[in-house]
Amino acid sequence: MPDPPTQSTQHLIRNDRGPLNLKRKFKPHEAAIRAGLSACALLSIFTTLGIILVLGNESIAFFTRDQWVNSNRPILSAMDERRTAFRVKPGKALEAVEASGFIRVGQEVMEVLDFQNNQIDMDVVGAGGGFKHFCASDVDLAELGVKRPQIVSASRSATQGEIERCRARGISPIAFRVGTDALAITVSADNDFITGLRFAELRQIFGEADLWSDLRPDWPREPIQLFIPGRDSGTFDVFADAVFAGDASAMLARSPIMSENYDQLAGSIHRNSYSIGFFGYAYYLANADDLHILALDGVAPSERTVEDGSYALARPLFIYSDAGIMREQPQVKDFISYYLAKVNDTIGDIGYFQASSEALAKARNQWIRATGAAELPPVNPAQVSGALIAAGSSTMFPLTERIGQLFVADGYTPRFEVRRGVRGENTIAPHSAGVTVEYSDRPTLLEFFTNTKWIPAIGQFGVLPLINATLMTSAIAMLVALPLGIGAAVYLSEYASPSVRSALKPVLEILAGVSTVVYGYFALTFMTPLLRGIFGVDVVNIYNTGSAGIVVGILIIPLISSMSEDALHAVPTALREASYGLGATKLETVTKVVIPAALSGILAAFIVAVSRAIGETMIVAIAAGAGPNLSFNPFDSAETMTGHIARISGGDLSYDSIDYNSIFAIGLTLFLMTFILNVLSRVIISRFREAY
Amino acid sequence: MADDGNTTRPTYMPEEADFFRRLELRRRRGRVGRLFNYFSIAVTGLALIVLFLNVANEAFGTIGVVNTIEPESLTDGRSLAELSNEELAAILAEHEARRLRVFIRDTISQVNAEEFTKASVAQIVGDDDVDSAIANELLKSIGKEQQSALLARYADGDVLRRLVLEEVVERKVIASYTLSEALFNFEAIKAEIEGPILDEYKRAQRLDDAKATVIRFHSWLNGDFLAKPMSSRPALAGARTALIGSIGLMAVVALTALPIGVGAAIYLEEYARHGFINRLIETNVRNLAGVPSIIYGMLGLAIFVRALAPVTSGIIFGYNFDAPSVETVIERISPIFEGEIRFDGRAISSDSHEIDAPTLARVVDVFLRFGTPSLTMLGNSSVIDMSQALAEALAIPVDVTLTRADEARDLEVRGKAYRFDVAAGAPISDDAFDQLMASLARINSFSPNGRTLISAGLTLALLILPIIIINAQEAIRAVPAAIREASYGLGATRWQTIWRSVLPAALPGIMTGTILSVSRAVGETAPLIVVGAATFLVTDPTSPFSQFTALPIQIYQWTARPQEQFADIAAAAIIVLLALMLTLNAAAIFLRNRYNRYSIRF
Repeated sequence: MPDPPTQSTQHLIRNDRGPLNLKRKFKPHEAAIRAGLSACALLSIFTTLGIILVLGNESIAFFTRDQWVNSNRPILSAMDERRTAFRVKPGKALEAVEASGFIRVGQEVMEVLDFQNNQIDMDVVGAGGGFKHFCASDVDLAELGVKRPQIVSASRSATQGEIERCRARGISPIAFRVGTDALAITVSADNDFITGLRFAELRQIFGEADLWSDLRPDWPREPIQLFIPGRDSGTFDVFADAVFAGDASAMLARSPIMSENYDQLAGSIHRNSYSIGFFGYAYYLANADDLHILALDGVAPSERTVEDGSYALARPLFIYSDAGIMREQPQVKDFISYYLAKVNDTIGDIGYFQASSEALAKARNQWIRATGAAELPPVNPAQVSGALIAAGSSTMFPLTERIGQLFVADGYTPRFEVRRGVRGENTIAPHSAGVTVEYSDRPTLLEFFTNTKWIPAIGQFGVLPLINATLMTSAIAMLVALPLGIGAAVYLSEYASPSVRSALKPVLEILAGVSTVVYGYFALTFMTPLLRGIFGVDVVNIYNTGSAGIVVGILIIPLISSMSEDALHAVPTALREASYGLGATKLETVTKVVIPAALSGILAAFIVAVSRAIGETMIVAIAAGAGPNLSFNPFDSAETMTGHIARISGGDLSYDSIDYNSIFAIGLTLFLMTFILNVLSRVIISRFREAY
Repeated sequence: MADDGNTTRPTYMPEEADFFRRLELRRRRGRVGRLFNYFSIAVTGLALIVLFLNVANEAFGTIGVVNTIEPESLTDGRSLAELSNEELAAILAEHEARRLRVFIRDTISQVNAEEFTKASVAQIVGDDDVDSAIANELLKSIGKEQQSALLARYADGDVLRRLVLEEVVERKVIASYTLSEALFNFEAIKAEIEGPILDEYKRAQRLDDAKATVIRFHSWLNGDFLAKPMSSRPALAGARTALIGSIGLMAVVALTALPIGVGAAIYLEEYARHGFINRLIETNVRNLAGVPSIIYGMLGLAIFVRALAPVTSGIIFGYNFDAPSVETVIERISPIFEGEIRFDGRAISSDSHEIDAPTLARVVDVFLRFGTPSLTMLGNSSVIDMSQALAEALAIPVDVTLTRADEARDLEVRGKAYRFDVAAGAPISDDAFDQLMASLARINSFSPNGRTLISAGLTLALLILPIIIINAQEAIRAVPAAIREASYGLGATRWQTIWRSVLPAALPGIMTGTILSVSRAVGETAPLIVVGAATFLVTDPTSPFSQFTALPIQIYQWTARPQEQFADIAAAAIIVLLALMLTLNAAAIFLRNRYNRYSIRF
């Protein structure tokens, strides 16, 4: 080998530029490259931040911006002026209008200037309960969580004690007699031994006697069962006064079955031939087929017997209010006036009896004295505004309800007045009647996670059905994938020979690499017909979570098996050999030594697989169905979170629409779910790994 | 131990017979366990086989075809093969006169589809010797006879015969059966097609004499399927547009994700100190790999499609800007106003009382700069924004009626008609004009938006970036330290070491990982749906800023349809997609093996 040319050697050792500087020099291009590379690495951080910001931003928009939701209620009046009042029927739209302050008709946003929530609120708490609320202190009312009733309906007069309690609060109840009720003593229609009673016998039946035969020897030796109204009700008070002179302890000692639900009482009496009970005549009429009414001393209740007092258990019906309340809240005086005017026309339909004309005239006078007006003016409910709150006797409820319905039918509906042309003064165009109102509805976080319906178009924003479907498909997928995946992993790691293993691993890789849309196709064209063939076409929907779940399971088998196999493979051979040395079989070695040793890895695989199943989109979008549906039946169609996002964004998604924002709120939920699972799996791997 | 000895246990070991009985039991359990493991792996393998068989079963099969018009009735008994070009063109002119221009565009046109309506006849046929009377006319202004003469002269006989068959004879597939049915049950199928199905078809179409002309084996996957664009008729539909879209996506993904991913991996492995930031990035990359793909789609929708719309729609590069002529603007906006609007070549005038000439001129000017709004647009949601901008600026109420025709899930018929109702107009003020300009600039023109190939490609690139980073990190980590030390020992800088020594050694690993990731990206569907891939597109993407569709999207669309034949072409598209993915995987394996053989071995 010839010597290398000396010149080149010279070049290496010659140093023309002075001593070699071995200190680090700043090289701009190296720094630039370094900066560029670090930017590449930081991009991943920005991606995460971007995901969080985008999802968070749009989700915040979802919860805070005006979501215009169709109320599905046509406006009743045409709108052609700047200030317009109109009415809608009660419903969720109403609450939203009251809360938001803006509505939209067409493209026009209107400000709600005045809102009258014209609704009648009726509470059944018994006459005693009604007076208690009527005269309670504000603190007590707040504790009870009720509003002070403006009107108390009662099936008896107010007691002296109640009136005094009210006086102490500066409220003086004014009674308006509206009618008369008779207590019906009833037995089951199947009862064949009793048709009438003497009044004196009531005391025995509801008091001392235990057996029917105690009263009359020819009656059966069966215990008397009592079904009576609760102690708060006026009916109870009236009966106790009339029969027991106010001291009902003998009746209560019999421990009768008490209920404020009279239909339930009637049903109980009907089913029991040896029972007896009492309640308002109207409830007897409603259940007349099931019950026998008993005459007292040979007198059955009727308009005549009640009017002339020959029927012993007749009682007056009242509504009570207060002069102060009637002055301050004119809707109350209007309603009572309307009540007095209409009561005689309707009371017969309910099953009560008209009050005598003197009693009604007295009630009118009471009204005139309380309001200071000269006469009872005719009331037009359409001009009445303000909420009405009534409480009291369940006997009175049907009557008050009927008159309330008439009041609403005559025009007492919620109404609001709007100013037009806000947010875009120029867009005013005449709207004809029948245009639907859109109101601004902001879903709350609570509603988002508790409502069981997802119908954004009408303001139902409950993510539960979507989450439920996601969990259904994921659970089914895990049921399929976990045993098979671990089985396959155990086979590959413990049983298979190296050559078989190297042949099978690519199969798993191919299975994992196939596009998920192909799996979706597989689910729809193979798995669903298979399930329908097995379980029947009627049972299994064309789109169902079961088929989608099974195929998602097949998709994640490779994931579980490859991660589990890595974990199994990492278990040192020494452990297996020790196990064999103790005489364990292969299965025992696997289940008692190898799998416990690799458990953290298998658990991590499980969690990653769950996360993957939750995030899987195409299979569920194709095979699980379109349309949120809260169903636990795996053969029902139900839309998952991912499926919903895919379906909504698949069309022409117009930006800044409710749909656009809502998919981001769902996406954020999905992201958080998978994120937590992924972090969990990493924690499990790093914290619980057995190091050998 | 001493305690154990004290406990009185009579026989610790079982009797011999008992021992063998238990041993047998344990072995039996072991066999059952082994059987379960075999079963698991068998089910997995079986699933793959069934998956492929199912696709093949649907992609091939038997079809029954009928003609709407019997060819003999067109030709007086002669067969189509005997007819001359002129006769064929005459048949087309007679039956499909209104579509002659479409035929010309699809068969003999030498100009782009976009310029077709503006091109002269001579340009279209690409021949200056064409009849001089019509050479400089627009195609739509010449008569049907002249159009059919053009067809007869310039089109190929076979092409014309195909047109006659497809458009006039209208061969229609009335029934299709899967491969398994065709193989095992052919006679029953034949009877069913010629019996009830044909009767039903005749009843539905009110035909008397149609008969099933062909019952034959048919492969839905064929040359035509690869070469034809989308169609609403399954028998004519093809996957060309989708295939080109998928390949385009692959290119964008590979070109963006590879350098960034490898860059990040180099930084993490070679530069970053083992500190907090490094750990954060690594953890983050691993978490990102577990984020569901649909979330990336939403990221892409918000960032690339919307926020970066001017870039991704290509507006700022001058793409997609369909500069309109004054005539088209007037044609488009005149329905907004009452009265006629005219343009005589120099000045715009109108006899509408709603808008005066200067205002009109400015409105037209606006549209000239920002593109033309069409009054009936297909699938364009910015029209609402546009109409509102117009309304604000002109101080006119605009009522946007939005109608959607998506009956029977006909996805391509998704037109939205927008009506601009003008009640009263006012002259446009300077303020209003500025406002209009600002609004239009904000919604940056009307037709293009960010739902383009590049948006989708970048989204998919973000999706596979974590996988590429992780793979590349592993490949770089596998390069022995000795190589780096040798390089440093020779005085190389850090970058020189990386570029000349580390990267070449790690390249096969990096490429394998990248190709596998790209193959995953090709199969991704959910992000594309969210980003807004077109579901019905007949024009091939020509630039990164084109609308696009992709194979998985087409499969999804076709699968979602109720008609059976769409399931068949979906299966054919699946085979194309799987072939594409398998090609990529094979390439990865080839690369790995080749470089392992020839490059540096450690």
